[in-house]
Amino acid sequence: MTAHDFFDDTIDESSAPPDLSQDQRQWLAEQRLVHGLLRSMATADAAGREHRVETILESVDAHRSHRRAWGLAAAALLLAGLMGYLLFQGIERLPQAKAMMSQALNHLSSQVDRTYRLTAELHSDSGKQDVVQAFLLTTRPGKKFLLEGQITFDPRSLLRMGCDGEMLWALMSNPAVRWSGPLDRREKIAEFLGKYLDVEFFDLHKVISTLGWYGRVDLRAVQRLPGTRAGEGSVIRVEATCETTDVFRIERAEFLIEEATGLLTYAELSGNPEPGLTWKLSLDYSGEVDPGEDRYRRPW
Amino acid sequence: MESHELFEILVRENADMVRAFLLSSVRDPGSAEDLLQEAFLVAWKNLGKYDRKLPFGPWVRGIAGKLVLNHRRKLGRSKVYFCDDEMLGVLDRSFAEFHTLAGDTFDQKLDALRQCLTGLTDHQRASIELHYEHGLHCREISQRLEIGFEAVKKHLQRGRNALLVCMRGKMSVGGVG
Repeated sequence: MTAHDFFDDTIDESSAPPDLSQDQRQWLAEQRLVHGLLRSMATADAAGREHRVETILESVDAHRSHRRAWGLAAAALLLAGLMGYLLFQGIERLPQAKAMMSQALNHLSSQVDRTYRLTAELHSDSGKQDVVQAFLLTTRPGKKFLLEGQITFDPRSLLRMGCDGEMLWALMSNPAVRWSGPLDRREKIAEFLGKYLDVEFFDLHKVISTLGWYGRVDLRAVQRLPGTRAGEGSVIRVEATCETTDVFRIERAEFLIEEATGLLTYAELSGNPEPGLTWKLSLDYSGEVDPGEDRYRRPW
Repeated sequence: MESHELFEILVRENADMVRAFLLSSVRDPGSAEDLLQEAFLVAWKNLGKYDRKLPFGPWVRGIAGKLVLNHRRKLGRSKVYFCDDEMLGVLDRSFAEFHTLAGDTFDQKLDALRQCLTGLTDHQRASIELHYEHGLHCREISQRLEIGFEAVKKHLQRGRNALLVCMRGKMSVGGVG
């Protein structure tokens, strides 16, 4: 068996071949060079690059401030450290929020069809405008989605809405309405979903990449939790607070991301569009479904 | 110029290259981002030891390489591709060679790679695009292209090889950047 057989395309093999000759090492290093360059090129964008540089400089700044303040705060730190150790003994260090978002993004990039239970809520302080809607959302990378559920409390009023990556369509049972148009006419969707539920939210890849790399979002990994589904490992809870509402009107977000795989098991997005009014969208991962591009196409 | 200002320039000039180096050795992209940050933090802490007459890139790449080995020891082989000191040395020389491509920034140097992609065979280019841009694994690519699994592996390997040969041609023709 040669090194070529061990180290295939996706470079999945991690064990060392028994004897690598100099030529094989050279070949492998060259494959790796191009592999690293291609991975880097596929994930390079200006916003990501700037955020990366800022993160590095922030960690350097934190180290500098830490050193400067060390002389004065040594005793306090020792005390705090001791208290922290006593209080939080056993709690492991959490991974960085950015790294978890990056893992989730990578996982969401794979070409599979995933389903989520989607709940959209609108609450007012007075309680007069409270609305809760539940849908089943199936998505695939490339702006493909299918949304199915009841649009109001009328059981006859069923909605199916989808997008095949280019064309957006909607089918409603009561009143009987059908509509289709290009994806850039998504404002039309407000007629079906109301003004607080945007098709942008169905593209989780875009939501994660925007919140993860947009400069004015404060991201924090806040908690490690045990997995709640069969076979699920520990998950990291990541919270995002937006300084502005530029990102699809989202003000707060919360994600649960499986630590080992990057699987996004839960996402919650919320905002306060008007005083006294709160909207919240939650997406609870249900699993993968059989691949099929047809489900996203306009059915008529 | 203060050390901190100088360091910011060095980070901006070298972060993309070090990240690509890490992505060539670390399977998990999140870990690669963590190691990138750590490599520059270690570089900052040891800036006094850095000989300013020498290029900064290979120095910080050396730090990143040590962190990769450490990472592999700590987390096991599932997170890191096969590597040892010698392999990282060969990889480092390959990156040094890539650095001689024309272009002021890493992204400009990647233009050579972008141009070379157009010279691949259809199957090689499709396999590479599906794997790197769309995140498909070999099995999925073989289904999508309706070719065998082994054929996909070969297209990817030969495609990467052809890209390297093409970039080397540009190094000798395009001059040293």
